[in-house]
Amino acid sequence: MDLGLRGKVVLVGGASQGIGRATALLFAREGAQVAMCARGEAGLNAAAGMIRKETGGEVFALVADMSKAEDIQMFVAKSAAHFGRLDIIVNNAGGPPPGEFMKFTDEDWDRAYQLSFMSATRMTREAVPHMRKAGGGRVVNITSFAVKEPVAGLVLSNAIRSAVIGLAKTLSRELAKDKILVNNVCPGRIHTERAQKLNQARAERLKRPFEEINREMAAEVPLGRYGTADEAADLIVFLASDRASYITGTTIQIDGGLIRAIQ
Amino acid sequence: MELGLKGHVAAITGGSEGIGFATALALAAEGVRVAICARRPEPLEKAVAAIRSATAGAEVFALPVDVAVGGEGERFIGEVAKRFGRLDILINNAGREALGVFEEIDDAAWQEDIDLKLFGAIRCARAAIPHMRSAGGGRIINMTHVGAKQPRARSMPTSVTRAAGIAMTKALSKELAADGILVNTVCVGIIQSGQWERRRKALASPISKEQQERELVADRGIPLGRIGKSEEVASLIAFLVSGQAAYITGASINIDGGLCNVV
Repeated sequence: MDLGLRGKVVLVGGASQGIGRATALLFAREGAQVAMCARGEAGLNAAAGMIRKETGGEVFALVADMSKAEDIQMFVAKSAAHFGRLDIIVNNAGGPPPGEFMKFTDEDWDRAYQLSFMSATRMTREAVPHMRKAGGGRVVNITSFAVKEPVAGLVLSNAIRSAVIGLAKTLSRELAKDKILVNNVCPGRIHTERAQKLNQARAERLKRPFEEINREMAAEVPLGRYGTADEAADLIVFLASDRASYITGTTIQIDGGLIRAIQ
Repeated sequence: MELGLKGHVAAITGGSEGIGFATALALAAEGVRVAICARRPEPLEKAVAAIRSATAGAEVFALPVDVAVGGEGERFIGEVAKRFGRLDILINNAGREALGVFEEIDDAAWQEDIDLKLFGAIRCARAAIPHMRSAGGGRIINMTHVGAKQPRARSMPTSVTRAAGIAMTKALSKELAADGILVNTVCVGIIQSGQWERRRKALASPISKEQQERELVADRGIPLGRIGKSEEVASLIAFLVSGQAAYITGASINIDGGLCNVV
């Protein structure tokens, strides 16, 4: 299937590992020009190097912290200047830490808000003028299946990521006339370093072996396994492609059937 | 994007025109052996010829069948499995919009809608599942409509039947996951199709296609400012039944140009 991504410029946040990295890689494989950012320089350069080697594609890598307004502004501006255009942004930043409600302070809430909500807001606000100039664009927010069914022990994520859904739906309507399509992808249990860390925290909290927790978490999924970062990337890249030209304002889970609700 | 569909076998109900035909074409182009059914033989023959010509002689099987009639959907599936030796994909697409004033919809009209859309899908799925199990897995796509998520006044019986289709999709996805059979629903908005053409031509005062589209966009409030194309829906379906969507099940995905108001 020709996705029509050749030559398109895509910005991927949080791209040094997990779903971000898999997404940047797949865009590059499809012929897109990729700008990627992450907080840690070493991890970012390793990921960018791997993608260049695998695809021979043009990759522009910048150290940027998705929780900082000035970093986001710089990432978008420099990427658009480097490539001369901007077509697609994939809003992805690490998630807030797990924990129960009563242990979190205002500072924890504020940090989560900056990292997981304002990052999407700022990235989009910076990108829209460039997309308007290009005659259209795509915004894909990587959120979590928790926005459809909140997960125990993840109150920061459940609350803050849900705000992104409200933002996205509003944007899908406001920006439709600019032909900017906005969609959310909600990963369920995907095999990434973050997922492993969350399981480790869970194992410590419940005082049970990590391997047992891992097995249990996989067994709870109807498809009996964790998804791969590449599978999440496939959906994200499809939504950003020319083939998804009538899809906007949606919130799509990739969860192996985990969510219970019909919507 | 390589969809990994070569040699797979797909059965598509309502496959002689509109979304069904576009899907058959899209899948055949990916190397799928397609089987289509519809009530009338002439449009079926035309569809087969069109698919063969567009794909340099792809294998296409067609059978005149009315899936609203008990036993017919099962007969179609049986013939497909016999002809191709396997069945991997089922697209439950047969259906027409039936909208009216509730108090004026009699039992017969309810039954007709339920027989076509709900029972058609139930019977075809029930017949297809054993073949999919033998193949080690499969994909079922139930075509529904965003009206099922936001039923309007005078939207019955269709909105009710389609909502049932969404629930069935979720329940089936849970029940069949262990067999590797993934079940999703594609909820369409307003898509260009034979039924809209027929409606336009049946008007007392004729209007152009463009005017019909303008009126629909304004009346229903479609953010993208146009109605969708069958090919756009076919691309989403092709992605969902592909190897790249192996972790997506139990999802109800809107393709509606932003029409649906609900998140």
